[in-house]
Amino acid sequence: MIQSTFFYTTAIILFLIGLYGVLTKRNVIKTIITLTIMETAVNLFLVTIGYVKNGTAPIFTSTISDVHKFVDPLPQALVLTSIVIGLGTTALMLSLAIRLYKKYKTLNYLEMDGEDEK
Amino acid sequence: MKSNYAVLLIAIPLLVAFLQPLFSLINKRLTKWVTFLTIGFNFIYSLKLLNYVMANGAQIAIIGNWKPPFGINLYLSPFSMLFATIIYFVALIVLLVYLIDKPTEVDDRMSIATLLMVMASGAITLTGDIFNMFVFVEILSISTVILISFNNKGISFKGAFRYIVLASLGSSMLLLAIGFIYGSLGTLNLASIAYRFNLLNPVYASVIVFLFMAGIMVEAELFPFNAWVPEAYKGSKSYLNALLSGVVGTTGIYVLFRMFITIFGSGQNHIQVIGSVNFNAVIIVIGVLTTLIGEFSALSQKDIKKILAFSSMAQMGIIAVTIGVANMNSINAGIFHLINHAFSKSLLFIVAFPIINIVGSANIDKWEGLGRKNIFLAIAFAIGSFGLIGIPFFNGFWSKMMIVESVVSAGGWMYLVIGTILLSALVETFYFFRIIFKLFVDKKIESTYSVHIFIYLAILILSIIVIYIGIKPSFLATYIHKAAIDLVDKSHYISTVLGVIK
Repeated sequence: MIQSTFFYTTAIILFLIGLYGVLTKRNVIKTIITLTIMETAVNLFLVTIGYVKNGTAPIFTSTISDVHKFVDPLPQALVLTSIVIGLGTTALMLSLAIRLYKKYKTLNYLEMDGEDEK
Repeated sequence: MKSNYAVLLIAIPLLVAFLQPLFSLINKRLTKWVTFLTIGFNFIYSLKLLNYVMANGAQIAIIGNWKPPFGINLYLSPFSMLFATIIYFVALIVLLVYLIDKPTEVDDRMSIATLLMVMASGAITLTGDIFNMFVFVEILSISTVILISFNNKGISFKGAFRYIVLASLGSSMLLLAIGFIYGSLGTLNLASIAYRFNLLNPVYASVIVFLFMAGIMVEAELFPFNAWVPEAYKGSKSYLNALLSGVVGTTGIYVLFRMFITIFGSGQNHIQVIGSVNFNAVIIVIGVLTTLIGEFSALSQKDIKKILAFSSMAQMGIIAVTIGVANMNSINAGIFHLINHAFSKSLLFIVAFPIINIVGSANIDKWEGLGRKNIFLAIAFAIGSFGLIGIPFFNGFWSKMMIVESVVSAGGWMYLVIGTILLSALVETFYFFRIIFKLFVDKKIESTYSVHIFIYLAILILSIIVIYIGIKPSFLATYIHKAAIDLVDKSHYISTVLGVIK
């Protein structure tokens, strides 16, 4: 059985990968990809908070009534919201990337700055 | 209960925003008027609620009859209603200019984005739930990005992209902070977070505060998360910049105030030290750095939008310092200065809009002789900059005096901070007077642009406010004083939302 520590560690590693990418990459598409990695890391982190080993859905039935086995549904609701927001943000970023490419014919920030100075 | 209707402040703009495509089928200009009327309703209603809470004390609006901490609630207090009112007011004035701007293809979509942005800012000030706050911050940043990118220039897209990258970075950190809070405290309600926050392990608490701070610093235009400021301001229309500074910036600082003093802090004594980190010092250092970077960047610019953008960054830094100085006077001063900044900076951006149209350039070197062409605009620009610099008998004078006074009373190494504030005022005086002298140079400008009566109206209203506060600062004093008391009274916040705790 996988421990939740594993998920926490994965989430933190993914987050740091994303942060590294955002800070170092100079390409619009690569920035978008790394931001998506960061979002995934945060979502994984949130789900793990509600994770219960061998847990069940938090619904009382005739066979299941052990409250301690219930998975916390609230982080899952948060993650659903944040996934939807993340999708919207990614779509917006991609559409901006298209516009940027049309204007500058490049996806590199440094080349764009050079273009502006001309 | 009466206060439950406060939900309308969020629900109506949201509903209208999604009905806008229908209005645009009739006429695209109609959407502008619908936006204006909706924000007008919000302003009038929030003014009413502000007077109600000033008289009757803080109220909560419970949504769906799910009592906090289980359900979502809005918190209506002098502090939150004061800022909601100011945000709606600034937006309303800006929309006056938007109404008469020349029609474009994208008017309907722009109306939607504006409406969502103002709605989200107002909602951030009202909400009592940290996840709600996150969602509204996201709506705010997405609609801001859309507004910036409408100008269809290379630099607008660049500014918009830079903003959205920083905003997603910030919101990831915000969400991570929320995850930590939920994982450790098991609640998302701000009041119950405030109630249990000092039970947290100091290491955990400082991680949460750091992440939260980093998350909201994008909106508050604080260093090092403000790289988006110059390009975004340059890329969008001048009157929309008034929204960026007067609405988005104000909201960011509002969240810092509320979270640092009421929620994470311990009321009167603020956040002080968690674990081994002195957060007061952290915020002061960030504020000082932001101010210095902002002022000196403004000094070297020729473009009016960039000058005003850097100047608004610098003012946000000064206000952040007041959060860190952490005494009652400094909070009073910070709230006062935030309000003054919202008025003066909106005035400057709105005045810049017709001036750019008359002169045909945002470069201040081309502005020579404007005073001869249109004395009213030149004087209004002077009034706005006097208010911002803090010339006696203009609004900024009183708030800057109060800030300096409160920092002096804090003593110690704070004297360095006074130096920064005074230096920034000096630099500001220099670059604003440079522009004002240019305006009154005797030179002829050829232009056929005629300024619409609505622009004059917007400028007149804001100028009168700037001068009126300058002459009679006591007009706002009761509001600010009650807001400051509301801000530091942590136990009152908790007991209002959660009921009396045994």
